Amino acid sequence: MLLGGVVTLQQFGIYDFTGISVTIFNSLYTNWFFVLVPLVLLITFYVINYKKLKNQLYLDDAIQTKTKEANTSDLSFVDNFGDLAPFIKNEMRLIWRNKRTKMVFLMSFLFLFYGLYFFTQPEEFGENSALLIFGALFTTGGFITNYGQFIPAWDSEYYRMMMTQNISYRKYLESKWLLMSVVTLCLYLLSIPYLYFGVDKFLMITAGTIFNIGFTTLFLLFTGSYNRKRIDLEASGFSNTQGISATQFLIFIPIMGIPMLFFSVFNYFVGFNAGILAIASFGVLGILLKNPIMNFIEKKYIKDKYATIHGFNQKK
Amino acid sequence: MIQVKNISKKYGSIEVLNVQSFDIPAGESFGLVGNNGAGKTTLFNLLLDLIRPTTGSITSSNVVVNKSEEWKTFTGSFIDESFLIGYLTPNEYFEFIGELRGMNKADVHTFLQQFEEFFNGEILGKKKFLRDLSKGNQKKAGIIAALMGNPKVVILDEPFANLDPTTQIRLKNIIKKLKENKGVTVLISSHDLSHVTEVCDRIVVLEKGNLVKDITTTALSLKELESYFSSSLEN
Repeated sequence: MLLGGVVTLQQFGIYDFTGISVTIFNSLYTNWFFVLVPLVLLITFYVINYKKLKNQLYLDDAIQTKTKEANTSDLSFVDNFGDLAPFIKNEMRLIWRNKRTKMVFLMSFLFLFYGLYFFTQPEEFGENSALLIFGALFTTGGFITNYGQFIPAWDSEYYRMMMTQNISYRKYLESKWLLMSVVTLCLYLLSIPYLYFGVDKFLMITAGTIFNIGFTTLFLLFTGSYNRKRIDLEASGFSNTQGISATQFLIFIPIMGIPMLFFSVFNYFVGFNAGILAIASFGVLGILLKNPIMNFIEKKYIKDKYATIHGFNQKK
Repeated sequence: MIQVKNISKKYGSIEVLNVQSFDIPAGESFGLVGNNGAGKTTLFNLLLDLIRPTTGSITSSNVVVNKSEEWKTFTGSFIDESFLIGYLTPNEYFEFIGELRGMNKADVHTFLQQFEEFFNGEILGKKKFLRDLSKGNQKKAGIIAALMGNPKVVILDEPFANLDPTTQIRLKNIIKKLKENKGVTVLISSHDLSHVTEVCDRIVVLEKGNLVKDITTTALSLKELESYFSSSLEN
């Protein structure tokens, strides 16, 4: 069934790209195809699994009278993810069973409409300005920016316990990376309707997604090591400003600034496609360098362990 | 098993703990008593590398606790409810901890069966989250989780507080069995002198961060401790 799903998506992918035959852009699309297909195939597997899991988790919560056996066996095929499984299971329960995290998760889907605002105002933003990149980034970046920037503060209540367990910090971070990447990819798939606004707009979204997954996830994991503010999971979701400090705003500068800058420069000197490629390449670079970057990030977390524990301990 | 060497902890200019060396041999049940602010929790936090020592170090089975993570593979602990993950059910929590300690679902199930009486039917199999359990039940879950995976060292901070009398007695038996059957080194802090004298081979008294008494438990120890603590009132 999984293989069928992958093949279908691939078919869809092929259809999607080759179906659009604009003369100048034809060769470009073949290039895009080669860049994207391995990526899509690689992560599609996770996407399908994840979507299935998400659905089952939701159903389970809604049917309260179900027995304990049903509850625990539903997540048993997360175990396909190997040693990331315990963390991923926890993360999914964390998001779904706490008011604030649930709201943040659902809000990420609302961010899909950012593109609508940016892409329908050519007078204000210009046809291909960098500001449209800003909109494109936010369209698929809702989850990363709202949820990812507080990692690992979501675990702040029981962070001390985690530090006394024999946890591979690397696996802990990897599971967060995987979660962010998969949800961003889901948002990307949901943003396909933006093709209506033109292929160029959708290319912006595509490049933005690659950048989000390749760079922003890792960047947010890195800045997460500076998160020292405790978050109480049970506090209500709305107008909850726990965990927010000046760092949150500083973070936006590189994750929005870099793609906007790259695009402006390459678009001005070379052309639109170069701008798009520049952003996407930066993202691909992040994916390729993921291992050494994660090593670096892991060391940082371990180094800052005491400060983080101390910070998370401060109750209001 | 555990060597505490010249350990001290200062917050700014306030020294909350200053203890010269002492050793805890393997298999000893070690009791820590003292009034509030004596430094008991500080010592446990240092043992678990949750805070950085100002001076000194702690070694557990030849692993320097703040230099290596090896000690985590054989140490179980429960300090307070923050050690629980509130949004999980007890079963999910046990499975999570079990997975971290190399136990699969069947292992976890077998392990938990021996504590059915202790849980009194209020913890396993219920669809309640840990955050919705009573304080006493939360504590029970946390203490048992600390025992998972055959640890060689178990650290419990005030385990008897908030437990009802029957549970306290059952917990004492559990701890005694740990010692006898498995030679586990158990460290317990408590405000209850009678519990500690019943369960521990050795009792150490902390006062304002200093070690003031270190006795091997005998039948007279309870009286000795009671007179110590009442005399510090008069002083």
